[in-house]
Amino acid sequence: MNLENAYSGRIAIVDLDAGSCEEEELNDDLVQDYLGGAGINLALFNRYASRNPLILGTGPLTASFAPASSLGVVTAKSPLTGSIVHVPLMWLCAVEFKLTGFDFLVVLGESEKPVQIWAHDELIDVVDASKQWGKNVWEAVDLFREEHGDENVQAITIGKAGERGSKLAQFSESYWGSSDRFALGAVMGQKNLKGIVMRGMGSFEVAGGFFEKCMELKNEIMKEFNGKSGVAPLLSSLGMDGFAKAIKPMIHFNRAGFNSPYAANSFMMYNEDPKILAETGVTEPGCLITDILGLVAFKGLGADAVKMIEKIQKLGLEPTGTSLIMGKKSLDEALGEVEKLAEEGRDLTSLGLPNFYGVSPSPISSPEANLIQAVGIFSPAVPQMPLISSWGDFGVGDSPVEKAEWWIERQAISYITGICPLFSLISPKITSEEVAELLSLSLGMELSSFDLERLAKKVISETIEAGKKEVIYGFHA
Amino acid sequence: MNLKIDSTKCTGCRICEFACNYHSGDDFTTYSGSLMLHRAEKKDYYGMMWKRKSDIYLARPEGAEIMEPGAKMEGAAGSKPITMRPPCDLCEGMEELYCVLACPTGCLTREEK
Repeated sequence: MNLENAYSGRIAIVDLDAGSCEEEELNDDLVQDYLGGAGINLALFNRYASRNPLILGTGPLTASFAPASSLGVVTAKSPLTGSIVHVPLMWLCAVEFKLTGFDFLVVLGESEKPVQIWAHDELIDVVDASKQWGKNVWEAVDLFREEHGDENVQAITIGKAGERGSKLAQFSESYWGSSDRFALGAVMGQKNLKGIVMRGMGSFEVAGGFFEKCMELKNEIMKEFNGKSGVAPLLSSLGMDGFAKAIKPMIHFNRAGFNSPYAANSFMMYNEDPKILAETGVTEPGCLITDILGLVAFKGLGADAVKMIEKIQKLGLEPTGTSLIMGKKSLDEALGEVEKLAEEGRDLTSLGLPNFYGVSPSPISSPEANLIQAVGIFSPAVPQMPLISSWGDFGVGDSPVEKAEWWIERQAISYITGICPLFSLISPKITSEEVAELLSLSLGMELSSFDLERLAKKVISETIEAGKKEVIYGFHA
Repeated sequence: MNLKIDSTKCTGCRICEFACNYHSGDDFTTYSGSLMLHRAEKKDYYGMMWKRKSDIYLARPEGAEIMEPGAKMEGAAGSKPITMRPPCDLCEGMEELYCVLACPTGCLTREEK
């Protein structure tokens, strides 16, 4: 196996109880058994289950020429649902992490004081984060970048909600929130871990023919989009043309996660003219919408929904649960209350929503969406349906069970291999066969779509099984 | 052939930086590429820096600017590393520019001289 085309071959083990960092080799056997991403994360989780592990992992295609190779996965036990869950990173963190020289990071125990984990140049350090603690997500990201002297530093960080251990907490990927619907932000808070901060300057070898194969696939994929870009076509796919029309005048530019042929994020400008091209002195002209269903959760506010998202991103709150608690409030009322919500920390019992996740918070209501959420191991921030494309384009029939099984398996393959799971719902051209071919070429081993599908099933069932194990939680005061 | 940059079409996906490096270094990294994305993320201000043989071409969304060697670049955080990089050879010996091959949006296109 040509591991060097896919991995640096290092797993970092950070013990926050002891304040120590160790390194172990990523061996061929682990890759043979689980390939990567959510698969290897799960194996590492099981190995350290009694230490409340939080795992950050990458796939063999993450940070490669493969289209939409932006995926990272954070795996932990959800304090919200009690299940072992996998949350995708789809912006720039996973690529930055993988280029630090580590493929996986295992975070064990709890620190006594606020810390950050700083990954760079084949090194991992546990560093004081008292300067960042107490700051909102945007301020913390700025401080991390300032401290490490580089605007290209990426950070998985938490806001007030995570610091207080709220079950509404979400970790954030840079400034813009994430797909964390499982309160893994609270797990970071519980560990006194303000951020996992990274800057990658490393490199990988590239197998012969891999670049050409990836370009060919990318060109095929581009034919599907007909110039479509950003969140508006995604909203239209969800049947929300009116809402798409309401927010469209605020779009500055559409932005893509790493190497994504489709720019699935849109920057909304409301503190400055969205038509402006030059850089001005306005430091916070708006926010980037990266979570389409999070935005939809606030569609009752109309175009003002984007201002609510900015506030939520800063506080490190999860939008769909927050919107349920907010109910039908005006923007001004909601902005005031959401601050209180983050301050209240973990005690949500008084709000009568101790476990809203089981109540199906996804703004998409369908039998298959409910089935998917009942399984509850992959983030429901990724819509439970094809986007831009149709079920038929993916060859999926009308049965809700078939749809749910397809969605879960397709997500699993993305989470294991390194392909953005949102993009895998946009492009039917990213087939299991294509992904298997790319992997075979890169790793120099025979891998079929059948192998991938079998592995996906194994990771799904073992993740569900792992959730039944006891993990000791102890929120610090 | 020459390279044409329209940074209003850039989505910030970064793959051009890696494709450029792949031409010069055969590996997947960014440190020896001649293209570098400039990203002021919170302001959504993205531009492209392109190191040429005798200067650095700054493709800003509002228009291009050429920086002579040693000149100070205003509003271009992260610009320093590109001065250390090798200049673009327009993929000498190749039929196509690698960055153009990789760009999914038409931000980078080939221009016949």
